[in-house]
Amino acid sequence: MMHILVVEDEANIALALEDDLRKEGYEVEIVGDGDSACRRAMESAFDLILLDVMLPKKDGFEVCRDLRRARVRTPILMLTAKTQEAEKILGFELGADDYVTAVLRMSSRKYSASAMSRWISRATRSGATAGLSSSHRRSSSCSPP
Amino acid sequence: MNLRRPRSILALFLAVSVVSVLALVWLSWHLLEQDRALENQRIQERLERAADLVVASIDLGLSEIENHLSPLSDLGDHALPVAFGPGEIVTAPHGRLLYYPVIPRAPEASLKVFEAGEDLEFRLQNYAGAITAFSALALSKDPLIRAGALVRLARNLRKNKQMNDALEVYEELVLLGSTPTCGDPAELVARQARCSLLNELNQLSELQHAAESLNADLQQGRWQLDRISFKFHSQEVQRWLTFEPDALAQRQSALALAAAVESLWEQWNELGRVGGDSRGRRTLWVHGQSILLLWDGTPEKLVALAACPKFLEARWGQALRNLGVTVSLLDSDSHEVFQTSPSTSPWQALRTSSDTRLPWTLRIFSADPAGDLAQLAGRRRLLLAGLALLGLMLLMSGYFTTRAVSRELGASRLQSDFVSAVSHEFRTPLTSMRHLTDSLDRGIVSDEKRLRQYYTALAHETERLHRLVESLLNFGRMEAGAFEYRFEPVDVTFLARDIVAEFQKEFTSSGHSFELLMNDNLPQIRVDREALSLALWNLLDNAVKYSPGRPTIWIELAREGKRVAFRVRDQGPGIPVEEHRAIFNKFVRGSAARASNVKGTGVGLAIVRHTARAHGGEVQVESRPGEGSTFTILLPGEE
Repeated sequence: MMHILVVEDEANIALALEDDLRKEGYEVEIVGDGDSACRRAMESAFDLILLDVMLPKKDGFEVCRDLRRARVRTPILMLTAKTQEAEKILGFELGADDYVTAVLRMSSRKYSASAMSRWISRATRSGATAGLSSSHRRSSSCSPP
Repeated sequence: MNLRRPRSILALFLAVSVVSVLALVWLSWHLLEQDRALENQRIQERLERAADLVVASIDLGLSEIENHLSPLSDLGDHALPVAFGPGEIVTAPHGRLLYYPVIPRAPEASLKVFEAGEDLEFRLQNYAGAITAFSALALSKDPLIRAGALVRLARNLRKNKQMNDALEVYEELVLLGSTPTCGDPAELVARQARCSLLNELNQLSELQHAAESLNADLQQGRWQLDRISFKFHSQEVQRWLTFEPDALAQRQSALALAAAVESLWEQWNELGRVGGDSRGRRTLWVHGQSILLLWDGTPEKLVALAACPKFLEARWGQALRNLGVTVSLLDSDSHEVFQTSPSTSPWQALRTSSDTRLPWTLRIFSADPAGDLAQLAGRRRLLLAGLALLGLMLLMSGYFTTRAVSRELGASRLQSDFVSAVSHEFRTPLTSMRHLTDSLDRGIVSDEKRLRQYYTALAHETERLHRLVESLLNFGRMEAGAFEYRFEPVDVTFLARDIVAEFQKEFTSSGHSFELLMNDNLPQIRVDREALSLALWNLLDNAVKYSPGRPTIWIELAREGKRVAFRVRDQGPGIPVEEHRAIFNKFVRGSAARASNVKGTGVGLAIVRHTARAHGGEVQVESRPGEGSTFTILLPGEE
């Protein structure tokens, strides 16, 4: 069973996400801020980290950077609804690191757990394949179908 | 909206200001230069006008003299009218011409009369015989013979060592006055010889006396002499005398006049031969002086005036000075004739003699260059002050405009931040609600307890949206001055308890604990319950948002004099002192908000301040970075 770390400070969004992902058959752990996210990601091995950009204290970018520095290679899916932030993620030069980021530039109406879970399965599949070949991968910008 | 960044706009504005100030400086410099040139031109023009006036007045003066030239008019010591007539007649006022260019040759006694005596004297050297012979002739009725005889008699007496007799004879000869003998008047010959004899006899005091008197008569033109005679006699007599420098200068002037008259005479004689002009003016440099010569006449007859610089100065000096300029006259050889007063003026107007028909080149200076310069400097000061004022105004207007623009830009930036913050504040509860309802809709939640959790969450998000909308609406009304406060007596302890309880209910998940401290004897106050609740809610909300992980928040109600203090203290990051004022302004969010990604709209504290003021109270903040913050609402109690 896939083990997913959801980093989301809004408890009610986290609540809905948790149920949704469980329904899809994932094992889910929820944390509410960037520090806990880093701590948990380093302590246990997750198959995927679902990372919100807007977080109190340490934001999503910093969490991402810190995890890479600590050689945590878990694929990270960053969630943002802002075009500006999506651009920032793409501009991160993350291709130098051995991991995958998919930016979900979703229209707010389609931002639902079921749509997300489809993306999660795609992202983890490609991440796993790429991880084995240990080649540099470009970050991909995707829109939900 | 795509705003330019404030910094680049300010830089642009600064550049424009600097360019305009530079343009102003450049302009002022040119203006000053032009003013200086204009002023120079003005002074020069004034001098030119004055020069024309000077020329005209001098010309008029000369013409006046020329029109009234008469050998008899007396023009003072330094000018000499003369007339040349036919037959070598030169007339001048008596005693004024030291020597004449030509004198009519007067007939003397025939030398044959004295042949016998001279034969005794020179050939036989029989002086006694000669004395007898000349003594006899000296008794002649003819003054010419007498004069000739007396001269010869005295000479033989001297040769015969009868010195006193010779002196007596000379005294007798003196009495013959202007009777010519040996080419000169008898008196002059006698006195000259007497002096020489006194010198020989070493009778110095008598010699001094005689020589002085003779010299005086020579200088006063007692006798009509030609230049050679005059020079001979005056040189002789001067050997026995010493002169005062003053007298010497006086004599120089008279000598110069005589020399000028002689030069004019020679010129007239030449002109007489060639025909030539009847009127004329010229200068002559002689004996260190520039003598003016004016003449009018024909080859037969000429009237003329010779004048020293002193004459010119006396005649025109004052009139020229009255024109307000300094005039300098140069003769044709560039000798200065005279200058009305010393001048250091850098400006001058020049009138050459060829321009003016005057015998001089005229230089006209400003009489008061310092005054001209002062005038120029005064205007320059005025101009500079005006320009400085203009520059200052430009800089000030630049400064104020820059400030206004930067404020405006700051405000518009804050506003745009506000819009983005508010959008986010709306989006978060909306996203939650959509997720929750989506899950409910798809029926993935079946557990009863879980469902309850969903409903609570939905209620919470709804309440959150409600609060947000209410808060923004209230803020809008407060800003527009349309918020209606309804004051009523309220027991603040209940109010505070209610708010804290409500807040705790809302934020159970945040993990904060609230400590409520209340004094007993709080005064009754009149407040708008809704507005004060909102204000306290905002303070609590801030305390929670800014102190994650620091669970305790203190709420204190206390009496401070006649006022009631509502105090909310947290253990958050604190607020730098320089932000203490700004955070109460609308849309302003402190540096901590940016650093810790704290969500919010930026109107919470503005509402708090507005409410406190509407109650006649105030809001205070005590905080330092790292030491938490305390916000206090102070409201006046009832009397």
